[in-house]
Amino acid sequence: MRPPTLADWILRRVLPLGKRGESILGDLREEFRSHPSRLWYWRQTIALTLQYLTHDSPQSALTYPRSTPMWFDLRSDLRAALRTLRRTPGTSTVIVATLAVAIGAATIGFAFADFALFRGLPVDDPSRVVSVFTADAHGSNPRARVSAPDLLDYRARTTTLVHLSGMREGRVPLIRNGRSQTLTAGFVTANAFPAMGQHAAVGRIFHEGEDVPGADPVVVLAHHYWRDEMQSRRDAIGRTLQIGRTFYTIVGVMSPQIEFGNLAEPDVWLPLSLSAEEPRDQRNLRFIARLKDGVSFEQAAAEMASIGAALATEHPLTNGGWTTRLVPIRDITGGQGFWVVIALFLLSMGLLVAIATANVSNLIMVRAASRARELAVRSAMGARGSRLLRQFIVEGVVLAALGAAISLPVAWLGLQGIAAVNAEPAFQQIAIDVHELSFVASLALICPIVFSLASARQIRSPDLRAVLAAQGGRGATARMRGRSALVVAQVALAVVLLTATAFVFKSINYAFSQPLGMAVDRLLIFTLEFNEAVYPDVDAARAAADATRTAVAGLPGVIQVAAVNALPVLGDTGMVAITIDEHAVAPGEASPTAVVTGADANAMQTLGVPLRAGRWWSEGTMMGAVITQAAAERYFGGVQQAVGRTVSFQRGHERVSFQIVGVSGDVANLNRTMLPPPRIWIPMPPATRRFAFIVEAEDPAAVASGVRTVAASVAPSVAVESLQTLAEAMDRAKASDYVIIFALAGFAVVALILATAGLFGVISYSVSQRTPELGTRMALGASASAVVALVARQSLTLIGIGLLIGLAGGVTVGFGMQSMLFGTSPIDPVTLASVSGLLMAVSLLATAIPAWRASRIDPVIALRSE
Amino acid sequence: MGRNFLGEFEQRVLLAILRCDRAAYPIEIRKEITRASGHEPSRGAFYTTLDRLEAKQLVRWTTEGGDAGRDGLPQRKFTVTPEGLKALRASRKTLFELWRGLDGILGES
Repeated sequence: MRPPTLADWILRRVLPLGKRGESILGDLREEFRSHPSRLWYWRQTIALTLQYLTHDSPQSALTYPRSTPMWFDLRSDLRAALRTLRRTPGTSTVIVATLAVAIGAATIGFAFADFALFRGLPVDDPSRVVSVFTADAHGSNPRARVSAPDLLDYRARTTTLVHLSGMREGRVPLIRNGRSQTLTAGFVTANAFPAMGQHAAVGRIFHEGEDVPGADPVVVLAHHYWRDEMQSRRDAIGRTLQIGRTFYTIVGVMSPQIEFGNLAEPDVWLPLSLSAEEPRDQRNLRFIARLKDGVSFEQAAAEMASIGAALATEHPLTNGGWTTRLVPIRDITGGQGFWVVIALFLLSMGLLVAIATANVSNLIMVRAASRARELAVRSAMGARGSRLLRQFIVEGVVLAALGAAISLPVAWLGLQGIAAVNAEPAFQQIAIDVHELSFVASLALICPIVFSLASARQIRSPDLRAVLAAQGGRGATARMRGRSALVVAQVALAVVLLTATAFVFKSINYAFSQPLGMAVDRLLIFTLEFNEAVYPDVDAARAAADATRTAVAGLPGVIQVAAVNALPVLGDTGMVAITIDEHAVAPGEASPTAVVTGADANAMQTLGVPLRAGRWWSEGTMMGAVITQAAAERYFGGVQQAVGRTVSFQRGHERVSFQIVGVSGDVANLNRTMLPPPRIWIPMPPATRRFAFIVEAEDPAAVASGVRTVAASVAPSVAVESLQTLAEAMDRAKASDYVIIFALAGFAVVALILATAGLFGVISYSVSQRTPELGTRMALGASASAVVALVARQSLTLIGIGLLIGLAGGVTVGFGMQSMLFGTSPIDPVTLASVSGLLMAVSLLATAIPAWRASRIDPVIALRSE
Repeated sequence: MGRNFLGEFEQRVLLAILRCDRAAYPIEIRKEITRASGHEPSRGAFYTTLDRLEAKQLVRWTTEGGDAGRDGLPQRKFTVTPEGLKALRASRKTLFELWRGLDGILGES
């Protein structure tokens, strides 16, 4: 058995030089033959290392008292370290700043990853918690939810899952002092909280039997609502809230842990009763369940897939072609790109820290080189290598600790910035706490060890005479080679990061450069919900909506007003199964699906959606429909073929059918990376209570206050929701994708700056070392341009090697993140060429100054020092 | 130069060297201490003590080339110097003086 290489490597750095240390290592090797255990070897290594790092023996006994306690040594090391920092303020500042920026950026990346991986899920024992995605055969909706009757069937048939629960979001009217206020509600079956393993902070969660029709109405408050609206008063339990026309008794307050991502939004939790009577194609429930003890995920997944297949056969009209896929709960926390983003963040973070450490190593090696004489003198006076090494480590730790301390405000500012540009709840919840602090602390400890050991070879260089005899620092080729390798590594790492960033940037730009399909400028949007508490009669709700429309249209500056029941792109609901020309689909075949949007007759003109064929329906028509080009092409084989045909689908308990009178242009998907969905515009359904109004005006922002006044006078008890210009709303939706690119771009820019600084350092150092040589060349007739070429060649070689390695790494990363690449590919020549170009430009800049300096060397002066 | 006081572990190391025919390899010295005391001294403490005894000029060492069993690494052979013998004698004298008459309390029962 071979002794562990790393242990030997450490020992060679720690043990005394020469025969003394070699013989100790020899003893250890000899005894290793009779103790062939790596663990034993490591224990001995640690014992020796600790002893030799903390105690000084013979030679240093001459200079330090033997009984010097370790803390005294440390104190003197610290003093020496601070002295060194003061003596080289420029280098020290650069090192501390480099570390502060890199550790700060890494901490931001870590905070995201930490949030997503370790604390995000408000679920106890997440590996046992599962969800279900249903998917239609078209693949246009791969992550659909489940319907209530399907969920009830799962419950009845499964043998592998427990706590099969459902959950959906909704809005409810809270009536307080006669005024209506819209609350966000989470509707959950009674077993949903047990499925997640969540508890009440105060009071209790729902009991079994409270989620069936006719049960006493009870409500559980979200922690934030209880804190903000009830001042965290415990006597809130037992009180009632009027929601709609029902009085709900408050039985508990949920633990704040559940407030994660979308689950942070509900103000109140209400029991959800599942009814087998609901249409099966109304897939609006999020499904959560737990694996039964002893059941593996694969077993449960197979069973759920077969239950899904059975339902597809039993209910061909609604379930035909639909598949059921069990997924780990983690998969529902983010989109498909989510984990790729987290991986990218972790990767960038690692690369950045690596680059910064390489850079600092470089700077420290330069400093160590210039301190070679000091070190040699100290060695000659009897300071032991291990002692010098320890001092280097202490210096490194001091630098890293300063950098880490400054990195915290850097990271905090970064996170504040991200939270400011993006209103998504998850980003608001990312914070710096003990996890991040310990991450920073461990980086502050690991980095200096790496960069101190990098220069350790130098400290332990036994050839003191050579160093002392040499006038300058020549003959340092081996050292140069080490530093050149560091620069190549830095360039390569920076290129990897740049390439990944360029891919993400191109993809997101591509997604958002796809046509939206509607006009965004000049539009103001707001939503009113005429709930049944205030408007028991649905006709009264409709009349109030009409009155609002008329009043807003009368405001000065308003061109036209229309309403839809859900805003395309921003507020789209799920897909609905449709039937074409009353033809039932063949068994096993998926029924066509589409997004159905209820709209006023003038809504499409107001939104600026173009007409491709036929006409809009006229006011008062109830049975005309306009479908989008995507729907016409997919289901009718073309725009012209669709007009005059019929589509029908289930609405509540009745089946409704519409005659297609026209075909419109496509409107983008909410997820901009997906194709525009097939869409059917129909006249506003009679039972609509929630109206999203679209106001066209020359200056939409200017009419906002007028809209508020009008709404307050027409429907005083209805709250005006999300009043904003459509452009603002779109920008906000975009921001969450762009925040990723901003963060990645930030990482990449920092990486590029660090790598450039490293390159600059190495080239200028090499020029200063080669001054006599270059001077000789010039004296012998070399032209200035030849000298510049010489320096540039050295620099270009480093850049070239780094670039090639980096591009290979970047392409590899690109293949890894292919699922989030759109409109580009991992070997996209334009991306790779622009990354190379950018890197070349920046690095040539870093070369230009030292090269220019080299060309200005005065041969006379250079040679005089010879 | 003042007299050298010996720590207990230093005494053990010196005595162990003498017990190995007055010249010993570190591995043997350590084995001898282990045998006599019943537990193995820490490797780090052992080598730094040897270094310290050397600094006090109580031991000296010569090197021999290593064989294949040591991967060719050299090995040291330690001898106790006359100074070392003197320090041991002085130490023994002091200890005997202090031990005398205490058998009633400390004698093995």
